Amino acid sequence: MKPVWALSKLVIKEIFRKKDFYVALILIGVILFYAAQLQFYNVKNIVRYLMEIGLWLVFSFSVILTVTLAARQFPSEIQNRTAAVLLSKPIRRGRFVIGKFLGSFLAGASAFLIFYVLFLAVASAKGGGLASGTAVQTAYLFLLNLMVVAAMASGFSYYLTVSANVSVTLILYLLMGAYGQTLKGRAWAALYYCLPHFEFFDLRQRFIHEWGPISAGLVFFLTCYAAVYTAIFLLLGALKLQRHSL
Amino acid sequence: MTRRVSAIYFLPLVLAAGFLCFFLDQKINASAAPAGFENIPGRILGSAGEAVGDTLFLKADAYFHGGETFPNRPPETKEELGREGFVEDERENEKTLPAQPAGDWISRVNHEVRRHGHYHLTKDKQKEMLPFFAAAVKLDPRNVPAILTAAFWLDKSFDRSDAAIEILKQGARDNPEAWEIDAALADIYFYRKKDYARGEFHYADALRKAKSGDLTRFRRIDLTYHLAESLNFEGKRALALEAYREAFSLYDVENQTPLKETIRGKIQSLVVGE
Repeated sequence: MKPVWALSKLVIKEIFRKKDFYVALILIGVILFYAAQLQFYNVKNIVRYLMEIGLWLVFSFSVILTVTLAARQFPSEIQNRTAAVLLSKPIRRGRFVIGKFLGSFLAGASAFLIFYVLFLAVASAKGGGLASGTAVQTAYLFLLNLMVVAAMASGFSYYLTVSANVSVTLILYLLMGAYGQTLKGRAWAALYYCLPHFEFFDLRQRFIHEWGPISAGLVFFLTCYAAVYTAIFLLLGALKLQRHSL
Repeated sequence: MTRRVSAIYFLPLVLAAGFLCFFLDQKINASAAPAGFENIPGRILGSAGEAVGDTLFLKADAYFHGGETFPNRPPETKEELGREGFVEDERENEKTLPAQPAGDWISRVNHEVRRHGHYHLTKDKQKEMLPFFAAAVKLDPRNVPAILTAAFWLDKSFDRSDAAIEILKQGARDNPEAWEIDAALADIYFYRKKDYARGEFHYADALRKAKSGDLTRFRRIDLTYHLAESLNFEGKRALALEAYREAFSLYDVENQTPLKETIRGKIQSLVVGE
């Protein structure tokens, strides 16, 4: 596991070394603080609109950062001609795929947790108590969501260029997140049954409208669901890399 | 030698460019158009603002019903509404459809993730709808139902009659043909402010603007009766008598309602007073 972890650490450092994360953090902060100080007819402690905006920003920026990071890992190794050096001896190809994915996921997860803490702080300051159980579940399920997205972008990075990968991954993510449960028609049946249903991991409505947490059994099922799809995407990537001549 | 620039850097640039455009726009047009320049979102979205405004108005409705949009929201049962202290029109039960889990496992998981009981916002939470009303009215000033609903909640739930009047007055400026706005303004002046002169003015305006097809007979009777009441409270007895008689004449001869009896009584007392 040492080489895997070494690779992952490099990727995690990369996200905090680049400006993208800080730009996103500042942007989220500025928009949240601006939205928090809005007054509506002088009625105080209105918070749900802020949660709506905040969660959307946090989720969107986390996904964008994770996808762009995961998508450029393998192509940048090829471009810098470091892939051949890495894969010649010290690390097996399967471990390379896992290391790159793990790094991308953990980097995205770290960014998400920082954004999420900022959001929770602003929302609590504006409106008082937030449902803590649902807040934890929302974060946990979104981390599973990030895991699948990172695996998807990571797996596709062995087949596609960076820009194509980012576009395809984000389109599939948005398509399944927004319309996943309605894609049942004959023409879309393949997508409906084959692609991961990202809408499963979106508890924003539950959190904002205080519907309460979902059952532990369902959380366990969704964890297994995310793990299966992560494994499938990583396997796709590993299969391609095995046949890739460097 | 070239550096790749991430798309994320463009967001602040686009925002900065947007604000610069508004700043210049305001500077250029400052002398020509003094009103309406505070509507920055409306200017960003242009005519698409109407669609966004309508969406936000529906979102406020979803908020009231526990966050779920029609037709996904589960039905509101009599028991649930009874717990909240009121039962709405029972026909609403027929209109709302429960989010039924379909046969396959994906739908069942979705159903489990999205399942919740139907509830209405309690009084202390109803304020959560206000940002959406504010945005809906701002983005689409021609959306009369949004204007009326925003004013209704401000007046009834938050005791913000002045804010409601402000919204309605702006709505009347943007929609000079909408009699409903005058009727709502008149009701607030009549019931909340006890300002019968302004009530009279707006009831008369509402009746003048309403074409015959726009008003149900009961609504016309109601507006005319309130116009008569306003005149009566102001001491304009002759005009009040005329208005009461007009309201009375709108009833069918065989139609007997408590309001008709009230109007008959008012007419008799004014005639006796004369």
